[in-house]
Amino acid sequence: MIGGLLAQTVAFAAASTSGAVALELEENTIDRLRTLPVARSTVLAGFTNAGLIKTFITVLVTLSCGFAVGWRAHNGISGIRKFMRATNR
Amino acid sequence: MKPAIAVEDLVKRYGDAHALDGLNLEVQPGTVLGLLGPNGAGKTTTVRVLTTLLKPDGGRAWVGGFDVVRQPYDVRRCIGVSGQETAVEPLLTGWENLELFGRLHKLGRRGARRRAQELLEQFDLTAAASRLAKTYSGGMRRRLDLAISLITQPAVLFLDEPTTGLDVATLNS
Repeated sequence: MIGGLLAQTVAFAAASTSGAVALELEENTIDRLRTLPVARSTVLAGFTNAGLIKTFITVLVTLSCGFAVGWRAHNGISGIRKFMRATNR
Repeated sequence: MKPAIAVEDLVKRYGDAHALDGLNLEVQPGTVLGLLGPNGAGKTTTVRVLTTLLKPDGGRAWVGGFDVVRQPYDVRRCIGVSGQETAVEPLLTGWENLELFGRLHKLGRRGARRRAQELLEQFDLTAAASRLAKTYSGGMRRRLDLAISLITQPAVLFLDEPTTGLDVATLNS
């Protein structure tokens, strides 16, 4: 169940970041940022980094709550490592 | 003297529509130039090209002596922009908005605060400085927007219908 919650959390966070970008576009704030002496990619990178930080915190809270009510990674840290290695191939 | 703005045969198309069709323009430093014309005449497109928000399809343009296509970073360092719609961060206070843009323009913390204080006084926003911008009236948001565009004391200032939402008293001031 925690796995599903995490997937849902990440999906909502991605939607929230896209929503924030759309809102800023509508409010013309992005145009003002694009007239600053910074690289074009900076604005998008800022939104992406903010989204990543928010997602990280949300995932941490979800995992902590899961841990508090008895969730455990059955195969321990090494199991998580193996899983990540397998999915990164 | 080098012109503040120089435009040669500028062309911008949106599909089949020619927003700009060979525009030529030269503006000397210290000049206030107003572009007048009906809706769709290309006034906003001209401003957007000169502020590096749009790339032209033809011709060349220089702002502060810098090419808007080849040296956009240098152009952005010497301009201030206030568009048709106000562009302030609603979840920040007036003070924080000014300080944020001052920091983004690399004025430093102390420089940004000093300039924010000056502009808040100049635009009569000192009393509302610690309120969130989303609680401002339309006129106050517009004044804050104009103040942000002046944060660096830019060499060239672009104002696209800057008096939208301002009352007569503020307009006169």
